Amino acid sequence: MNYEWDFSILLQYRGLLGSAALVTLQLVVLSVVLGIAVGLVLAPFRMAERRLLRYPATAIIEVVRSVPPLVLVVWCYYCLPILTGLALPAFWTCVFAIALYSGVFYAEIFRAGVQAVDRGLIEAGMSVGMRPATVMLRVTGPLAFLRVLPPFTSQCVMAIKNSVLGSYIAVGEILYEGQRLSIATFRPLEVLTLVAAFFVVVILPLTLTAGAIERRVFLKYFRR
Amino acid sequence: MAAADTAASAPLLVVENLRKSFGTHEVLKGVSLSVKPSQVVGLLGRSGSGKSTLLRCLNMLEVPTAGRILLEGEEIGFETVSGGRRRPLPAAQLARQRAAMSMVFQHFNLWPHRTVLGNVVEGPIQVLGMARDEAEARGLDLLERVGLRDKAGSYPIRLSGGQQQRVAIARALAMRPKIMLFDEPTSALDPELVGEVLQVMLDLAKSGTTMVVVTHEMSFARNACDEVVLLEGGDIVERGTPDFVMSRSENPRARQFFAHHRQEKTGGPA
Repeated sequence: MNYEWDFSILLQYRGLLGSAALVTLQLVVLSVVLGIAVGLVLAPFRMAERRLLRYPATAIIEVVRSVPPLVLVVWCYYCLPILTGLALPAFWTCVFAIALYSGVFYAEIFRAGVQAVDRGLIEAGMSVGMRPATVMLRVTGPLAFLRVLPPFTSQCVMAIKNSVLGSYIAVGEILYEGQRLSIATFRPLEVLTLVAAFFVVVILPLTLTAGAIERRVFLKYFRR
Repeated sequence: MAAADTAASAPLLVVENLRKSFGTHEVLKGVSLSVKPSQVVGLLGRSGSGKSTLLRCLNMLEVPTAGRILLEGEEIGFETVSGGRRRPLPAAQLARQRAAMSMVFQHFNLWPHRTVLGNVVEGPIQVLGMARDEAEARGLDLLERVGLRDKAGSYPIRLSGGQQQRVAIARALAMRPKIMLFDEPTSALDPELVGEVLQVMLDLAKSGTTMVVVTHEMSFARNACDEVVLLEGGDIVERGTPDFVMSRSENPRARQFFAHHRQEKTGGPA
């Protein structure tokens, strides 16, 4: 290959790329935090004994889960305003769509975690007189979270990656600006490689940290 | 002696005609029981006789199908509203009642994400609202009492089964319960670890703790219990002093049960 790499282009447009990276980070933080919140809200309903509570949550989860995330983002951007008369900026549409999409997966992960907690540990909480909310907060919740750390991490990674879907509705995040820049400068290799590297740099420390925490937790609490 | 006790003190715990069904299978067929303060009652019987279900009904880990449980005259788990209708108590009130009847489980059920001391102080802090300093000071005393003060900072997974069960007993005691419920506390232990747990329970019994104990340990039933109750098929078939029920009862089912156990004792490896 005789291609002459010219990374100076990146330096030249560092202001643009930097602010695009910032938009991506904002998108990521907001959609992950909101997604976890959606999961925390949906999971108890999904596990409720009353059908009146359980069925709607189950329906939301199953429907949202079946829609490809890109379709969800595009649908929220073009169709939701027509149906509701409520038009959000592209950035917030993207945040809410990705939060909803990852939220239903978080909900299923949290549910699996809660259901995996040894019934006896919950009964131990009840038998010292804890109220149901205290049992959830002090026993079931923490133990469930420790159990689901690996799928939880994976889901966070997915949510981070899904931020690039914003580029489809012209959110000025890193892929969108990267593509525009590569077209304008005829330097797609440099620019898009940077975009890919950016995600590796964001995600890798996260998964490594999560892996380390997971090992520590396992050794400390669960392995003889 | 039993008659004198009855006259001296009102019962702490009363169980009236308790029934429990799982689906169509009736596990308890109308069991009545009364436990006086400082009394130690042993529930004996084969597996499937309903003894664990009875114990778990006492603090509503299983909700009885019919019958009543009274602790110091207060009905557990239900309230009677105007018109004489009974309904389940709100969760917060049931929780308050449960705090007075601590349970020790067959599989210890220590919380793996808390240290030994953390397990012991959790109830006092979260439920009784005790200050951490005070709860920890008391917790350490209780751990001393079960011989595990030096393990206060360890996580449960680092302890042997016998040690875990002694911590579980300390955790139950930390609630200053009116009554202690033991659900086969030594059944999950290696044989060489049974003794240390039974010793702690024997000390508790001697110090006047009111206890209801589901057990297969015949020596414990004989030495620590004031009364033993033999269940079979969800009914009480015999009750009385350990000596009476285990040795002198004419009841054929009692004789058969204890004869079988004596055989096991002598037949098995030392």
